[in-house]
Amino acid sequence: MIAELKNTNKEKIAFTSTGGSMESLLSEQFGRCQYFIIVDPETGKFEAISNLGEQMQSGAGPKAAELIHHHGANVVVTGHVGDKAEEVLKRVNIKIASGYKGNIKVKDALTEYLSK
Amino acid sequence: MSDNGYKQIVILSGKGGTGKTTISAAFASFENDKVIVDCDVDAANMHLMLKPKSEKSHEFSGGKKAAINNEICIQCGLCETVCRFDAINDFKINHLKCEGCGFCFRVCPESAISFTPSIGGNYFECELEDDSKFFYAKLFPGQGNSGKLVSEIKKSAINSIKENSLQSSNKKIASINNPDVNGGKFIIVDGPPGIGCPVNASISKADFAILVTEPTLSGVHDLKRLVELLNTFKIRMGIIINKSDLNESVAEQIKDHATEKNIPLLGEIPFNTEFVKALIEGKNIVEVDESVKKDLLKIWEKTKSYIIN
Amino acid sequence: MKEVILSIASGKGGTGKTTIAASLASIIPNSAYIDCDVEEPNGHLLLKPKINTEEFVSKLLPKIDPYKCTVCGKCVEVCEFNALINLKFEITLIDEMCHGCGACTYFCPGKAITEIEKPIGVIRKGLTEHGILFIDGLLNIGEVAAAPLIKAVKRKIAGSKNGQAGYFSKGEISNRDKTSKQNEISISSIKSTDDISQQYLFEKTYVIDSPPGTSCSMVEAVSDSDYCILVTESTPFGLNDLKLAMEVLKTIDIPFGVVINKYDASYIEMEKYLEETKTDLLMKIPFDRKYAVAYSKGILPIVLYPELKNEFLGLFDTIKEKLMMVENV
Repeated sequence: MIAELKNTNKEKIAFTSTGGSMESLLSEQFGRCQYFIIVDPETGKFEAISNLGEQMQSGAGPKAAELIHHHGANVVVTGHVGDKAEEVLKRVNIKIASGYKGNIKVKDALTEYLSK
Repeated sequence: MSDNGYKQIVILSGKGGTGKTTISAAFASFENDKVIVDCDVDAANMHLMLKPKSEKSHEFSGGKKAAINNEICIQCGLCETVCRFDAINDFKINHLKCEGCGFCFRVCPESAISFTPSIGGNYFECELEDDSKFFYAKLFPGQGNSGKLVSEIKKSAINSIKENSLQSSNKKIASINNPDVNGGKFIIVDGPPGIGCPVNASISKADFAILVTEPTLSGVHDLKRLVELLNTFKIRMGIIINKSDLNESVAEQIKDHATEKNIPLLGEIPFNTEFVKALIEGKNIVEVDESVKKDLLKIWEKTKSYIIN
Repeated sequence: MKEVILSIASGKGGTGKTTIAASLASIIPNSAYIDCDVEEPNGHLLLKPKINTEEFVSKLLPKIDPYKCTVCGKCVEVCEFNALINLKFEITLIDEMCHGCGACTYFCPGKAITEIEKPIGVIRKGLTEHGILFIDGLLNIGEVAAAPLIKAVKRKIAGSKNGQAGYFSKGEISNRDKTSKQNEISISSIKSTDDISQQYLFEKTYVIDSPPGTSCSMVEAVSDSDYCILVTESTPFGLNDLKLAMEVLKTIDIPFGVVINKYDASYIEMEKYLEETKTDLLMKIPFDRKYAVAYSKGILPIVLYPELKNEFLGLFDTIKEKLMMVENV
């Protein structure tokens, strides 16, 4: 079933963001970022999903992984991902592109990611 | 691991009363570019010694807690049956025992139970006399998630460094008080006692742990458990034996254990009543006793050489 | 008269709480020493019990049967701790996050969840050479759930007040049969050889050594006690932490008094505060290096210094008076 998902899904990239648009700054935090911006690079369309992780007592990371998985992302661009979240992301075959800094806009992070 | 070149040093002791806070405050006084975090959120003490010149208070939201509305409750007792934490008795919820699992709230056939977030405590963002930042927190009594509060104040401390570094170009760093100390950037974390959840939170992302122990049987016992914990996190560490002349044979046992586990002995400090005197006078030990200051400075230099290598 | 639970706590660590608890257990006839400081239990170093039983304590974790699970997501929805994650093709558990509340098991529509045990620590039981019943809990390293272990340790206190501390065996944890006491420890057979025991009123005194601080572990350890002794020291740190601990005891309504250890007359703020708040000062133990040296060797200072032992006998008399006052209110 996983293999099937992989084959049928085209690339969908999730960005951890501080706001709900492509102009917002990227968030370095994964589990506790304010928004996820999920972009389809082929069409350029994006979807902003608010993340409740900031208010969570515990387990925000794995929960955020679950959230972007359910929205069909298969890549995540962020600053840092914790161990538990990483485990979940690996289980659902979401590629992690970490090490991005929070001083760039989501749209610039997209350009940077695609150029790699 | 480090943020903007800041090395994170956590000072732990397992057992209380070994002089951990006094030693943390002394080390902090040797450095200029630093942030200090008191992670003993159950019983924060360091602020009594550091006497911040200003503090900003922030609320810390605790877990959700359940409450029964007795006007709606039909006393069926189902909530009491399902609660694993003995928090419900006579159709009343004991907030100190409630873990916040929400089982009762979900199971109640009459929807008589509410389930809302509570305030877990406060944390304080302070400025010290030398303009460096200091963070401490007060957890409300009986609150369960001190680990989360520890993570939260550490996060605020790290964020303050990031904010600071944005403006650092136009901010002059205070003149050097101790010319014999090599400069460095440090986050100095005074850790909580024990080996439980708050300790785990306090050592996350630490570059080095300093274990302050004393030559008593319980000191050794707790030290061994702490070493085991730190090894599971693969954090490098060193040991300081405080009150080292209290019992020389036990002090030897500590040294043997350190050798066996390949942990460097950073230094020894003989039993000294000045430690208590400094506390009573509300002073930093380095202001009170020249010889202790010299010892501590030597230990700190040695610690730094391990941190850097 | 009856069984009495006496807890010894302190806001700050390293005040001498364990020494005082162990000393009291030693001088009180028919006593039991219960070490609830499960992260760092040290009482055994001073009392040197002969341990004769060890029992593992577990917490419950959900186990999902993949053949029955339809990945409906109900369990994920009811888990407040985010321990369950819906991967779409299955539900996965993150062990460390689970508090073992049992909600997922209860609400699973397909009955696909059972609970399995995961060890969190061990309870040790034994006797000291003077016939004091000794019980302590030792938390596994890396385990975060101290409170459930403390609860299990306290359940070893048989037949105490209102059955609240009645003991459950592991199997019973899930079905919550609160009346069962099948594993009650037989303690009545342990007689103190102390000839002064006849003067005392209590059949049995349980001395609980609480973890330091004011967290949920401390609350768990001191709740249900008849009286609590707060141990502090003559420093601003000691006073600050004492205030926090007093706040907890007032909230949970447990009568208490204070012992100042490492007493230093130059620190007047401590006694001033106790006076202002009308708090009972039970005893002052002067700061003395020889006591610290005895402790460092694992010897109770009262064994070496009879004058200190007399002080503790006096302390017990004071506590008895306080308890009778509580009784008569």
